[in-house]
Amino acid sequence: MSEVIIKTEKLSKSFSVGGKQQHVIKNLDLEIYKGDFTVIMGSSGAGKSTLLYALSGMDKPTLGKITYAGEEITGLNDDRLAIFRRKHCGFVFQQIHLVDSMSIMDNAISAGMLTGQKQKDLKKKALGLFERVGISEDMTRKFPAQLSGGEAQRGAMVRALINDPDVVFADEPTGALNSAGVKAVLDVLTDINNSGQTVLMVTHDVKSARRADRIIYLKDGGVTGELRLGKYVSEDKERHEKIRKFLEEMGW
Amino acid sequence: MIKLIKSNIHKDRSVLIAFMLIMIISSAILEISLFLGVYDKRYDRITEEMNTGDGVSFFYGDSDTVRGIMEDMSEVESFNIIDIILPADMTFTLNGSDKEKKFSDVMYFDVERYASFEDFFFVEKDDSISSDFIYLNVYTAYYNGIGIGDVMHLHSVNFGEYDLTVAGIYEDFMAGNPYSYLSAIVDDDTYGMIKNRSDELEASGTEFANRRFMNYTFADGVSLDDGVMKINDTVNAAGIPIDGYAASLAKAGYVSALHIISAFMTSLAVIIMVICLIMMVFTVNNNIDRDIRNIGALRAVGYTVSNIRAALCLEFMGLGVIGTVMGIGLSYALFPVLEKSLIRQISGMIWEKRFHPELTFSLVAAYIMIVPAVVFLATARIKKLHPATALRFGLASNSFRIRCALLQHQDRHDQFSDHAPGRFSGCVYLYHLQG
Ligand SMILES: Nc1ncnc2c1ncn2[C@@H]1O[C@H](COP(=O)(O)OP(=O)(O)OP(=O)(O)O)[C@@H](O)[C@H]1O
Ligand SMILES: [Mg+2]
Repeated sequence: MSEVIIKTEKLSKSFSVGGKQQHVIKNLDLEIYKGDFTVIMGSSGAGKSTLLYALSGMDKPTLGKITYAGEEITGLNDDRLAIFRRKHCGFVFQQIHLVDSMSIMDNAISAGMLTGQKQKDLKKKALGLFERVGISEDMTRKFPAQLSGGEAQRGAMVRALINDPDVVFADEPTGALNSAGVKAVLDVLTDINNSGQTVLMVTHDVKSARRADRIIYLKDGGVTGELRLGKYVSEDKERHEKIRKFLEEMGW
Repeated sequence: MIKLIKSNIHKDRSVLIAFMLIMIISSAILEISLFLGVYDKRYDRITEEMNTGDGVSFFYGDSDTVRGIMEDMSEVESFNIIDIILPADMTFTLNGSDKEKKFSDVMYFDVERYASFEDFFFVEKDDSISSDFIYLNVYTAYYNGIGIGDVMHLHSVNFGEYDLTVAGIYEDFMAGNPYSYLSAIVDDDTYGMIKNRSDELEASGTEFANRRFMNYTFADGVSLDDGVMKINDTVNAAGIPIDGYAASLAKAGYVSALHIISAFMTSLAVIIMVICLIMMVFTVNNNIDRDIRNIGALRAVGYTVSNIRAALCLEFMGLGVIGTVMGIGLSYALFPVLEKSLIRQISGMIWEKRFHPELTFSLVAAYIMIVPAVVFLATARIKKLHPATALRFGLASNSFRIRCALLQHQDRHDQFSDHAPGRFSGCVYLYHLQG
């Protein structure tokens, strides 16, 4: 078995709304392995996004412990978590969440500058990454609103990758895209995973789930099942069938 | 960070321009009000240098008697008496125009003698005019719009007519403000003619215009008002009519109006600035609401709360610096115009055209500190905003509480089991908003 990169112990997250407690994640023990393409699935409201945010240090758990490469991040304060994120994590969101007042190039550069890289070097690096996700140099000067959803999402992926994160967190990255966009984004994720970066993706989409090494099913704040698939090479029926059966068992 | 500041400025530019205009106006007004404060110090400095004394008196009668009284008074350290003429009524017309203006309460000094005890601060002077000339104090000249080379035709029922060319404008720090007698200095010959006429008038009992002008310095520890009162009382008691005032009262005649204007302008500038700062707080807060998703995204990629707040503070600090510097520049451009057209006539003093680094830099420093401090406080909310929450805000509505309350009161599973898988979760929120 490969190396554990993120580990949770008795992780709980609850929100209080109107004085009532809502327990979203309950006593969760989970391990995410380095170099894996892990997909989290589950019904709407199961707590997938909440879990992803907690694992990536964007949100603090109510109880329990999260360790990242053996180091506990649960006790870190906001600033330390921010520094942790800029060093180790990349983010891709369904709603893309690029800063709308900056060109996509500046979005990428401004994230990169946080880790002390020089603007000139960053620009070169960003151009390389833009090429990798299929965005031309001209297009990098555009603002998020001037791009199609798919283009913007690929732009956002450059921002996610600019600091060479160990883990890329993706919360339904294909949720708002058409099928061509979906494929492009998944190809990039698969590609970066193949070059060694860990990917943790939440999705509702069975097609997207096919890219996974491992699928975790989340229900009512706990893991109810998991499926190991092995590295994705190409679309094959057998893989699809396995996933379908797994999801059926899980009550999808 | 620079990229972030730039993009913020780009996005907020219309509001920022409005703020900048307000800052320009406010700092210009404030700087001008500070300039007005400079007059007070300048008055003190120059009267000290010129040694204008602690008070002045005018009397009608024998100099020797007064001299004796003054010498006997322990309070008086030194004094000086010269002749002046104070005609009861006088008018003038300028350069042959027929518009007649009053020229009363003006004391005529002889140039030789006045110069012997007081240095003049000439603002303008034409030495080529050597006869039939008159020097005017700043107040008289600028209030009446008289310049060097103008010919004044003086006219009085008793004293007759004189044509004099204006050859100099000087600052008179004791008899040159609108609340006191005013001074005017004429050449020797003209003074002689006026004096002869005055003596004739006095002999015939028509008008008593001969006066003596006395200024004096008190010994240490004597209060100016008490000293002046004592001189006036003692001289009066000797049967010589006398009137006079202390240097502090003279000063008030020059600077008190400026103090009032300055106080008014300072409060105006402060009120404008406070309103501007309040508006800034609202704007910053609005921008945080507007940019909540951006803030969430920035926090997610690793910006700390301080990074984001610093960017906002720097944005407004830049605005503050530019606005203040431009406002101060404006005040330097505007003040000389204002000074020539208005302030000289109010104060009887002129503005030494020079840069005032202490006023300029302290004002810039004040604005540079206040603006970011206010913005920093206004951005305190960002501290409580977790990136995860900020990003969720961005989904649709801007009221998280309402959305969460809606979500809470429904059985989510039932609600969504008939949605096809693969449907994105943003729908959950949108659905509730619409429903
Ligand atoms: N900040 C919050 N405050 C209160 N409740 C919250 C908060 N964030 C999430 N929740 C609640 O936690 C539950 C899980 O939300 P989460 O977004 O993790 O679901 P999800 O599995 O990602 O769903 P979807 O597939 O629809 O995105 C929901 O019921 C939601 O209302
Ligand atoms: Mg979600």
